[in-house]
Amino acid sequence: MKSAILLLLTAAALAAQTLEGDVFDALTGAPVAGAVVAEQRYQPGISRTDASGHFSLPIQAAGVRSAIQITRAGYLRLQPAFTVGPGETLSGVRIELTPAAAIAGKVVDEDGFPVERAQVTALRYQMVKGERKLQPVPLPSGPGPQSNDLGEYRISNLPAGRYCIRATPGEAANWDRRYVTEYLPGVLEPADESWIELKAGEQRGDVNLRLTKHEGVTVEGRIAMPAGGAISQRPPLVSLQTGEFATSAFSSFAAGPDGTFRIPHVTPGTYTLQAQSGNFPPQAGDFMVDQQLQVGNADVRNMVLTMREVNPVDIEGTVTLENGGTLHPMLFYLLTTLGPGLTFRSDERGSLTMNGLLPGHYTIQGMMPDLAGRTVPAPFATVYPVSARLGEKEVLGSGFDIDGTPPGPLKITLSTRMYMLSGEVLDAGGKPVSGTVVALVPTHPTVYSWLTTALTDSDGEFRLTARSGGTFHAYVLDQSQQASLNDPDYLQAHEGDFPPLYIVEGQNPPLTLHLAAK
Amino acid sequence: MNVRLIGFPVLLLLTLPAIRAQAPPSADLEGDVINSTTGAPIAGARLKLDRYQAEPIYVRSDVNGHFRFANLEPGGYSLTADSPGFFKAIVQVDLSRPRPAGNRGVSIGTSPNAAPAATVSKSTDADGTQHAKATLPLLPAAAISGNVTDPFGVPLADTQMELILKDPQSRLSHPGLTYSMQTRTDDRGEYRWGNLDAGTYYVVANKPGGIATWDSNYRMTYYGGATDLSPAKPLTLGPGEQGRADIQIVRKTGVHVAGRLIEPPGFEASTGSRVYTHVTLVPDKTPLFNPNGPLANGHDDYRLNDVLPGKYLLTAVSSTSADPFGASHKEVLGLIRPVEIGESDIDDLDLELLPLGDLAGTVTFSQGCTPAPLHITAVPIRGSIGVRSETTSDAAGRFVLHSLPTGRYVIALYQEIAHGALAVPSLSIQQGARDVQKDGFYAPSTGDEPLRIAVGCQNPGRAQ
Repeated sequence: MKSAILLLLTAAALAAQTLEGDVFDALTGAPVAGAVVAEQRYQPGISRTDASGHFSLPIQAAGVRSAIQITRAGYLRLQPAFTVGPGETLSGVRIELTPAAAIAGKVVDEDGFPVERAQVTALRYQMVKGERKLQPVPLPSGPGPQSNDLGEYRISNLPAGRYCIRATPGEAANWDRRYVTEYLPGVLEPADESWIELKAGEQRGDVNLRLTKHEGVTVEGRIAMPAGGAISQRPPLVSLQTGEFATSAFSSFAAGPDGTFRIPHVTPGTYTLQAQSGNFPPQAGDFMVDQQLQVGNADVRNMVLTMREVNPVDIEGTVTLENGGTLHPMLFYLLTTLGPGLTFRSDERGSLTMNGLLPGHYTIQGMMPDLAGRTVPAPFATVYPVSARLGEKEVLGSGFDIDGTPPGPLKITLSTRMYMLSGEVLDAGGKPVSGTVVALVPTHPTVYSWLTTALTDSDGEFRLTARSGGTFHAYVLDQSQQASLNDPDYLQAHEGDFPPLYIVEGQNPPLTLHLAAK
Repeated sequence: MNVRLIGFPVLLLLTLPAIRAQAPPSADLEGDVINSTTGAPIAGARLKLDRYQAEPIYVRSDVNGHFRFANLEPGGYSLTADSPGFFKAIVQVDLSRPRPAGNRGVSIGTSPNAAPAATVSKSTDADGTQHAKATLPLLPAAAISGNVTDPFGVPLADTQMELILKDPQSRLSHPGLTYSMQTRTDDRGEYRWGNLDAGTYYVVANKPGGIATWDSNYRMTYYGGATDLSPAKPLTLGPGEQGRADIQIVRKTGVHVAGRLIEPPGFEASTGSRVYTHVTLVPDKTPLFNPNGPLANGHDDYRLNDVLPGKYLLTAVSSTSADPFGASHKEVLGLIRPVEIGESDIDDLDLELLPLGDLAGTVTFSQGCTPAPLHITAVPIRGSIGVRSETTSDAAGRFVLHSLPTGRYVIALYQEIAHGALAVPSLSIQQGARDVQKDGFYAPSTGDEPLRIAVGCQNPGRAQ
């Protein structure tokens, strides 16, 4: 009996599927030794490339696309997907790793003292919901690097590109409040010198920042309580906030016992001045106020911030389908400046209640069909919002503010319209190119339709589904360059490389894309 | 490295002159910044004089480490000294009234007690002008840096690094060791901790959570090449010393541990979505904050590879992933228990998962004490997962900890007072016949036996 079980186990081991291949440096073509190849969902089990760059990885997911992660210090992480049939060996897989670029340097203050805990960030322009914005480059692990006790920082794992460098003042601001967030080489707004162009694998170790003090202006005033409200034992906190969710920076000041506050050294810009007493995040019955503030070159005096009792409100809403049809319950995810995100559900009739919203700014960050316990009808699997109107205002892209008074009803319009395009990518010799990125970019992006991407399969074929029709450009590029697709400057610079396409609703005729010889 | 003790000037105590009505007297403050270990002056140090709701005043020390603030308004000040490579020192200077005062300040660092205190002395002229003199000894800050390579000599990025300080005084969960600092290696496999006190440290490199870069036979490795704390080589640093600890990850194969994941009878995930279970083994009594033991994921069964013989805490946490945004991953089942792994493979360690339950209990005050409602906090012990959970006992001392997430917990008690909370020591904590005061209890558990907590009088002398 025992031997029979052993036999079975051996048979199972023999039947296991394997992915075999070689890893090369994308720039030099040299084999890369010591790269780690792993099946992403099934830890443990890795394979390391040998001196000739060869690897052989047992695959646990048979017959389905499985994401493979390839990592090696000094290279950009790659995550291609492969399908290996039960018991099969997929061999001859060629993987090219692109050397990662890095920016490093030292942050010092005006005294030449090293600045510890400065958050140094590489930014670039990206399309966010169809708008061009300066955004931090997402890093593979953790938050951006902070400078150490010697003031040294290092931003690694960067793809080739042009980056704008920004540093928060870190400990320097604790020493002297006149130190604020600056862009290279010590300016308040991004300038030409703030940008650094990096080639693939380029290591820049000399990007030093010398922070400068800014006198700024003083913002002062007092907090007024509504009739019947009294400032509680704890003095209210007054805070200045700049930027949006991703880039916000706070500075907080306790108001005096008489409710007066004074914030020195505020540099020009647009802020949200917020005052709050009680809990964070605020709860019903606490008091708070927020007010937009434009700061120029003159002191701001005698501001009166009139607090309001925090009063949660409900938003009643309806969800409809653009071209009619049966609704399915949907989940909507709201991101807020206060506390964690919120999920709300609409029912089969499209009725939606977002309850208990505290004052603050909200954005509709995501939505999808409620999968709970039922199958989603086919068209609904790819449903997307095309409009969200709160009262008279379109808020799908911009988000909305809640100030304690119930806003008008929310009308969300969904669409299941699909604009499908399939085709293949061939190299100069007419052979299919697998594992390359094909991207559809509309010439007129909207908040719900700006970029669609697909990877070519082992036959060089791709399928794309866009959310709008009209004129598009189909870009073809290496996986390692995929991040450039979010860069409007890159898209504009390469628009001429790819001819325009006109896409209609439904299935479009197949497209063949030819790659020029390298 | 020698540590030289330095003497401080004896505080000058002068007799008070008679106070006469006159214009508000002014004050000045001067002093010296010195290296606390050598007594040498520190030139170019910077000093900040803070006063409530006023702009701070800044000066630098001269070549002799001397500094001076002149024409100060009377008031309470706080003086900070800073120089690269040293901990900052801060001292309170009272210039509000013409009277003699001595003052001791603190150094700001990881452990302020390690630095000698700053001192202030004061004299007052006949016209009421105050002269304060401060000596600010700055403690040199130590640092440890190094790199981490895989067993084949390739730099390992994203390695989870922990630093543990040896401290015989420590009464934390691991006797003789105290806090741990954490960081990660960069893309070159390098790491650094600055602003360290002098002391004896262990440095550990461990697998990162979430990224598959470690083979199952890679071991958490201490500086010196040990895979365990007891044979590990500590690194001893004097004040200001820069230590280097390069680590090559050790490979060692172990046995596998596998089994089925069994849901309790009648259990059905309310959302209809599938239950996904994470199983992990954490070495028993680990001093690490982030032990990252062997990990497996599964629906119906699990398999952990390359487990070394030893005592572990096995944890299984089952969640439903109904929320597509990952905002509220819901833990529904769990199991936590100690296991001992030997030298052979295990294929039948089936895990009977338990539903998360409410844990009830009672607080009993000693005879003659005034009972009071207490905040009951379940705190996950180090190396255990789990989430801090809180409740309050009622007038009869009853409490319920609702849906306690899977973990091993100890109980902390607090009593609310006028401006905050006061920690309340327990006399004993029992679950059934077990003493769980020190080693904690497991949740979820099968018996659901209530906790019985005994406490003494909180206000001695006011007992009824």
